[in-house]
Amino acid sequence: MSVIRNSILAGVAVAAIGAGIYFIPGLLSGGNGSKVTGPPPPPQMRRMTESQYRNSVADIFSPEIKVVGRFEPDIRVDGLAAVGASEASISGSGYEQYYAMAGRIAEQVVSDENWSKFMPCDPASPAIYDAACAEQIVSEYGEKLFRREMKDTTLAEWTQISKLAMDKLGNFHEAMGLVLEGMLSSPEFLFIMDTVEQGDDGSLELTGHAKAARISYFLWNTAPDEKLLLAASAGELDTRQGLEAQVDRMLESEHVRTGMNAFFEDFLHLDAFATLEKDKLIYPAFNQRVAEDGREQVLRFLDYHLLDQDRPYTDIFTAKETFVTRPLGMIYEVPVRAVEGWEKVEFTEDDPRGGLLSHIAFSALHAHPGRSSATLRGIAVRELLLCQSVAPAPAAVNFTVVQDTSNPEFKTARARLTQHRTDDACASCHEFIDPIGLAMENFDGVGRLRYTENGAVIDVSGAFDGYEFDNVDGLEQTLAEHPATTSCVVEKMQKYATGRKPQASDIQWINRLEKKFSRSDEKIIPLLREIALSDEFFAVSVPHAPAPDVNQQEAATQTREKKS
Amino acid sequence: MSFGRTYPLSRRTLLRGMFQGSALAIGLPWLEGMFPAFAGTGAVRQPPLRFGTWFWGCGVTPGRWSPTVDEAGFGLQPESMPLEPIKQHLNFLTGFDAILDGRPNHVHVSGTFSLRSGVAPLKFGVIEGGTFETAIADRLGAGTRFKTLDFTATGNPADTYSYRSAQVRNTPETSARALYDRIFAAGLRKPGEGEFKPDPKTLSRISVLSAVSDQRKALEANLGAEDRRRLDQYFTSVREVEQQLELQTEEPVIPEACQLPERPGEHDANYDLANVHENHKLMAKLLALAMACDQTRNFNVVFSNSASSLHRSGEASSHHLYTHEEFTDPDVGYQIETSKFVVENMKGWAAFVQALADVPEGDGTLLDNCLVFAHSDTSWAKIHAVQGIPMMTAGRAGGRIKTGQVVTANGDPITRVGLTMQQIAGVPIERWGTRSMETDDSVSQILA
Repeated sequence: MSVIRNSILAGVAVAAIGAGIYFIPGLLSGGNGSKVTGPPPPPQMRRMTESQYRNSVADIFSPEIKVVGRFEPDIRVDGLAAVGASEASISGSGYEQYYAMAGRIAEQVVSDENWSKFMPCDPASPAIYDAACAEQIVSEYGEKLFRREMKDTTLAEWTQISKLAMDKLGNFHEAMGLVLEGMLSSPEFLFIMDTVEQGDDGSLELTGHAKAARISYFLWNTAPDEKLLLAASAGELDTRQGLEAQVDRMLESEHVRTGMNAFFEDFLHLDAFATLEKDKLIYPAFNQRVAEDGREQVLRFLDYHLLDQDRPYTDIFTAKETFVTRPLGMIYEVPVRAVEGWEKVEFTEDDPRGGLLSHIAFSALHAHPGRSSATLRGIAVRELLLCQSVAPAPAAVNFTVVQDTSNPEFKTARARLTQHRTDDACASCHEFIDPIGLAMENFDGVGRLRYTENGAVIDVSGAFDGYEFDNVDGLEQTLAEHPATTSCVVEKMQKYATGRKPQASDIQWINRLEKKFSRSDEKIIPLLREIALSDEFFAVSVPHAPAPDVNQQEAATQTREKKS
Repeated sequence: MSFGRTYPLSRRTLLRGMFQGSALAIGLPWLEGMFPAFAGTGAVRQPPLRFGTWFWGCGVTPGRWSPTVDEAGFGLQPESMPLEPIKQHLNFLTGFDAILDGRPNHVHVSGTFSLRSGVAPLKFGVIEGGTFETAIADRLGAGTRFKTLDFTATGNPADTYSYRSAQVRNTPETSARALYDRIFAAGLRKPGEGEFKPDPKTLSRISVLSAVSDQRKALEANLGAEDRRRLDQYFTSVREVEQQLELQTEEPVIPEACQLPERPGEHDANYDLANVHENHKLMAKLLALAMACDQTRNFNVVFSNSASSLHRSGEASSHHLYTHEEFTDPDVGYQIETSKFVVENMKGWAAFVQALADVPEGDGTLLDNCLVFAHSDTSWAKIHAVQGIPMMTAGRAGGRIKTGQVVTANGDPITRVGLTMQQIAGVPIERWGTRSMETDDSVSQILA
């Protein structure tokens, strides 16, 4: 929990911070051939996120199948819900919900109107128990839902369950419905559990199906499709050629957008939109539609620049084009012709808007319900975009001077924060945070453009980490050039893909990824490809006796005092 | 690791035995011994004890909340004045401290979890050990449909302070309608006309879940120690659902006081003060009825979150922001707006206690058979003080405690209170808390 400031000056990247490992390109792997290694991580068990659950059900069955229920809230560890998923379990009330959802899904799947759509076979009459058909259904859906081959014992067990249910219910469709319900509420569905096998040399290896699951949830954020499962069954994922063929197929698919959106939702903490609240009297332009569109807007913006236009990652800070709907038009104060749907808008070069920071997914999400917050925004840039860690505020601080917005002496946020910074206890942190946040003061608490506050012109100039800038455009230019910007997205992507904190054995891997990212002109798709084709992505080892792992304990949910 | 089963013989054992033999017609011996609490055929003879927590954020203003005590009893202060109509049901527990032993004061976290888990967290966000009310829920809630029913009036499901472990929290309901649907829309069975027959589908479901649980050993084989614990927690949760299903196969025994409410409409749920009051009122009533119907005996209620985000419509500042940014008014000597929010929290508490007191039960009310424990995250939020965190109890816990007491401890460890709550609820525990907060000294002043 330390704030490391001085070492970042003049573009030299940072050192180890808090729980995370911060990688300096070239420093760890370069030079004297000193290598940091360690055993690969043990097999994993990741709780499915809500979007993974929804996507899996839609893809295994059909998007027509309704998923209704409350999911356990995600847990953020190391800034990512993907990492939290490897530490989360399911509470009693949570399981009650998953169980009820499973029942509702199964009921729809085996309903009379849907049976023939989903089921490979059907006995002559529902009153007849057809053992072969039951086994076929168990085998097909077991493989898809559990992401593993249904071997003899489990196949027999689940088929036996169908027989017992049949004996009680006397209806084959209902009996198979209970089997699906059971599968959907089983830990093997609700958690993505690695299945492993012994390799030729006695080491542990992921099964083809476990590899398929890793690839699929990483690239598409959903369950493996039939082609991928076939490749897994045929052992194709164990060869470089077979793996490349599948990864390239998936990267060329439209589904990769779903995967990338899931990454950026996690990366930018867009789940906070679910509880985002703005004061209706202070910000009458804000409503539920604005929140929903604001979430989608930033994803469209990222898709457009990074996938459609294939631009370097850092271009998202300097971009001038984004997308708006009519409700967003109220915030952006631009005319939107389309009554429904999205319209591209291009801001002029001298307009502060267009880049990532000008989106309400950043400016409104990191603000109070009734006003902007330079501090929250500064922290968000440091932590989310640069992977740096900011120390929490000390307990006994007098903030009174900070933000009395009615004080005639201190009309703008800058004036108030400057006053606050005369207090030594506060100064060090705020120096680290505020110059970044103050550059965004042209966006009010809901993200609307403004040039004055309480009648005074807002000064948005500043400097951080050795860069100077005049306004938010300058700040975004700085971020585009800051070495931590690219190393951060690589680090987060690696953590997102693996669903765990980096460990010693990952250091060389991450360094390699950073180099390749830089060589590929900071394009996103090549980064995904590089990760998905890495040996490290699939490496596992036997779980060793539990040793007290400091990082394991560092399960910081990092909820700082954001809510207000 | 057990399944958390507390009755001696489970239906699952019987069912499994059956399935491994030939498929028999259903005619299970529903032994009364399975549900000691419901032994007997009529209504429950002695109303059961219920326990719950009620939380509000950002504490109180020093000198404006703690009651004054004299020979005639106690007198309320400006911030506790909303409690006047219910004060006969309350105890005040003042002067207990979270003792951090040099660990950091993680703002709005250290107080709550010192109090609830008996451990001052070393790291921000890492809760070391479960919170005490989960031990009580395991004790009291083993035979009811819901081990616990939790809600937050803030609309945010992240607002919960009931933790099984650092990463497993009880997820609260956030809307009255969802709470209603969960308790009353399905699954709650009133004694019907004619003969009761268990639904064969429910029986099948129990056997399917049983089969799912049987796969545990095979699944554990490749997991590390930490993941095994996560899987254990999962199966404990499965067990709770199995128990709900088992109860559905039993002729329902619904107490006389059980009345089914109307389904509430949809309401905005967020930190807007007016919405919080409205949602809290609706959900408190549903919870009271759920307890009258013996659907649960445990609850956790959040009125406002830790670092209270309550705000009044049209104002740029929230309760939390006021605590830090509002000037102490030189004329009156306190933060005026901050103090108003404390009063609002106390209005919420009074409404909650009244909702329980409004439900008749036995010779008295539901509240008489409850022990409700209310507390905040800090005492004086302006400086995040964790000394003298305000706490109260409501209800007589079925005659186990006295009310009308004002206990003034002199910097004693706050864990004395958690220890006492567990002991009143029958958790066999003699010592509780860690380091300087380890204690075997219960708060005997409130015991009957």
